[in-house]
Amino acid sequence: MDDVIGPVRQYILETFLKGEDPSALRNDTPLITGGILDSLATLELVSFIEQRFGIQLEAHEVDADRLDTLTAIEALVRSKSARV
Amino acid sequence: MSVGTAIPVEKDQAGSPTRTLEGTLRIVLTASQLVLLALVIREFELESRGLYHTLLFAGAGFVLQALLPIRLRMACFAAVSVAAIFLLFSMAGLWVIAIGLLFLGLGLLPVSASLRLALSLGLVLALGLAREGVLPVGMPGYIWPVVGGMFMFRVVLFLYSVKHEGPPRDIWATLGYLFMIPNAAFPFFPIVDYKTFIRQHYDAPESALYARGISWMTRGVIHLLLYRVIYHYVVVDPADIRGLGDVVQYCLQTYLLYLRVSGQFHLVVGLLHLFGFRLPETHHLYYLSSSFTELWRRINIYWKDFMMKVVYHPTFFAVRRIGNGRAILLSTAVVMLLTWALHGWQKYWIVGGNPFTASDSLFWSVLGVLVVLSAAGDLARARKRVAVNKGYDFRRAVGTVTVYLTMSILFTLWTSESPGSFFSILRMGANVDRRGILLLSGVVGLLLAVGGWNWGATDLRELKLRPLSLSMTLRHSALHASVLGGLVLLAQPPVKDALGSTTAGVIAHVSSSRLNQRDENLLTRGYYESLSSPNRLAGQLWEVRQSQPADWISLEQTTGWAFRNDFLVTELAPSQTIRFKQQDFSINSHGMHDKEYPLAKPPGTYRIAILGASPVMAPGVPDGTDFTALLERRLDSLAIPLGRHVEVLNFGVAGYSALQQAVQLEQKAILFQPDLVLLTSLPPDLAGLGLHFQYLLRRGISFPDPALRQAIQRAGLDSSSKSDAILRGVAALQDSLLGSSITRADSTTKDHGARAALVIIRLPEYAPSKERRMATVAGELGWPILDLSQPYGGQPEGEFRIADYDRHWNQRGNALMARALEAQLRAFADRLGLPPLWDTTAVHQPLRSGALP
Repeated sequence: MDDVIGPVRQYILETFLKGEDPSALRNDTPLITGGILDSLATLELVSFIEQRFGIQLEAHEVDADRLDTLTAIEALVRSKSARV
Repeated sequence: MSVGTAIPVEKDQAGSPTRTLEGTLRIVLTASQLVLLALVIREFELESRGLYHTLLFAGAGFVLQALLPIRLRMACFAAVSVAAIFLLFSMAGLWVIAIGLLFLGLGLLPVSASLRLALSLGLVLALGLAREGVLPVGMPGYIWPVVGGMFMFRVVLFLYSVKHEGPPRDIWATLGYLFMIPNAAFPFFPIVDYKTFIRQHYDAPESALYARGISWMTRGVIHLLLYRVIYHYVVVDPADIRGLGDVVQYCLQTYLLYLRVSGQFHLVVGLLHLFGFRLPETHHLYYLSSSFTELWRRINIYWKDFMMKVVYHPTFFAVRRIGNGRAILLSTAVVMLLTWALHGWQKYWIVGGNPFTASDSLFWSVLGVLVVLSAAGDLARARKRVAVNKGYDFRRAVGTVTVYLTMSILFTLWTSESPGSFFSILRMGANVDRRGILLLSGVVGLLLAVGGWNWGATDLRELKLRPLSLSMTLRHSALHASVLGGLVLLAQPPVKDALGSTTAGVIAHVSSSRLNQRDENLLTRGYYESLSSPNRLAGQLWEVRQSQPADWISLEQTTGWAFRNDFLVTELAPSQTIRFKQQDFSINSHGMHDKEYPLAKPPGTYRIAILGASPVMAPGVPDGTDFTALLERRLDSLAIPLGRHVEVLNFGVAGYSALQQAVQLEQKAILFQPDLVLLTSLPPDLAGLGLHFQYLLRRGISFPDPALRQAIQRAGLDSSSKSDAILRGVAALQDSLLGSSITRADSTTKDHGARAALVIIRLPEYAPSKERRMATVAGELGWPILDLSQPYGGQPEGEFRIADYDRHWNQRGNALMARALEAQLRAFADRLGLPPLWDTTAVHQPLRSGALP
């Protein structure tokens, strides 16, 4: 699979962190528990991930365990892609 | 992904426990600050005594677990949590443990998730039947709030996790989750997420976790102290609302009282940090929210997360085929609807009774609509990240003002007896006064000034907890120790005294768990029995009432209470002995809590008739040991050598107002041919009048006095009026009501050749009242005023009350009152026409507590 972290980072920076220094968003920056993504933003990110990587997430998968960092998102996408 | 697997350990972060000198020093510093926190809680009587003991116990548990390897710490936490339950509830804690284990067992059954859910619901139903007394299980009543607080939401998250993540591998983690310390000390507890609880255990550096834990606990203590200040100095009684200023103050205080919940939750989550649980904040600058969706995200964050997990996301994913925007709005609406229902569920388990009121339903309906509209606004706008402070934003400031004022009004609705009461309070705002304009302008100005800044902004690089160097730890500890140590010092008598009487008075109020004046009235006079809204989850009054034994019922619930269909409304049902407040309570054939007396006064006897409310009726002490009986024995023993007798007749009836005393005097007491009539006043006298008029109006009893009848009509009071509206109406009439009571009693006594006096009393730990309306009228009529409002002589007043949950006099209190009243009678002996019972040459003995000779 292609790069996962790159497009997701780009999407987050453009959609939720306009004007922020891109280098400040690291792979382990807490997105949900750190308050960057609220509930609406999380759902928008889910839609982006589903469309960009062709996967389908379930309700119980939308949590900080799987979506809190770029690293966790990458693991989730790869895990779901492997099952497709 | 499975829950409860390996704890993520990073060498530089959570690694094995630091056994270095530096690590030991950190543990000692943290434990010392925890002890200071416990001392502040003890000195300021914050929350319950159980919290102080729980914190000390948790401190020992903290040190123990911090010295253990990480793999053993979860088990240690579970053991400490279970032990804390026994610490607070002794063997009754077995009920809590048994119910928790039952839920755990059902959740782990190797059956389908649906069947596990059904079985768990069956257990909940059985518990509900037991709570209602249908299933006689014999569980102490005080355990129910704890059971509700521990399991009624936590089990939902546990079952959800087992369904989606599989059974837990670490049973200790699950036990720790279910029985989490300090839940036993806080029935109203944040809904900690099961998965977060396990996943984030020691996933950050110990030094940062401990420092954050102490910070949040200190913040919690400060919230609780601010709550105290508001509770004692800002709270307005609805009955005292006269104009816009009072309305604004009342609305603001209802929202500000929420500080207690945020204080409690900060303490809880801070303590959990000391056991390694990196949990999110429970509240975040919620008073500065600039939209309703932002408020929803900031106030009780754990509730929001719970609803997102079990309601919002499942709903959204189920309906998103209708489009993301619509699905979001629909999911938000469902969340708000279920939030209303689940708050009722929570209240039922903690408070009991019917948790759903019209005010509650209206509150959640309006808030739900506002949040959905706000979510629609968010969707319509291109949202930006809010974690960066870009400077002052006027639109944000206006949003903050709007949300704050709206929430203040909504909280007023929520805590009102009914929507009708709420609107009657708001209507008083039509009386625009200078104070109201100034107060409103001040609040709006302050919010505009501070609300335009994004105070919650943080740097992206600061979002992750980093280890604290030793020097940072020392600075952090010194700061918190100085704040906490300063608070402990402030509560010490020599320091308080040195700060002057005004400051000492404020500190004394803030450092005491005593009820404010309004709640004291509610507790003692029972005026607001129906007004004790279950919405007041944080109410101190509710907690006091919770501690009452099951048989500590009101007189109205006994056979000793009878309703009359006339202006007196109530009386003691004659010729019986009932069990009341855990004592035999005998009522004679004339409906008096006293021995039998003939109507005709025996020759050579001086009769004193004492009328009044429950303090005179004297519940909770053995028959013959109340102050009227003690006074009679004392005075009679002095009179016998003179060939005379003295009788003191007790006409006290719970709740009797000044008006009822005057009518009771005419209809009953005067028939006993008293030489002296003593009416009593327990200032403020408004509460007694309010209760009396509430009964009159509710029972449709006509007012015999045409002028009074017209005044009641002018005040707009009728049988449908709510309690606080009645109280406000009566408050406007109280001067004339009290005046006519005394005048009426004066003419009755004079017509029968008796003398009269007014006795002013104050129950133990009852805030002194400056109100002397009855005394003023009585004084103008030439009555002696027997002031017994300061009888305790500086002694701890708590020693004179029946129980923590009941301020009526115990036997010592009654003995003290008998002596105090004797001293006053002696002082006014000539004016009262008393026989020469006392040797006037003897040196007057100072009052002492204790039994009379």
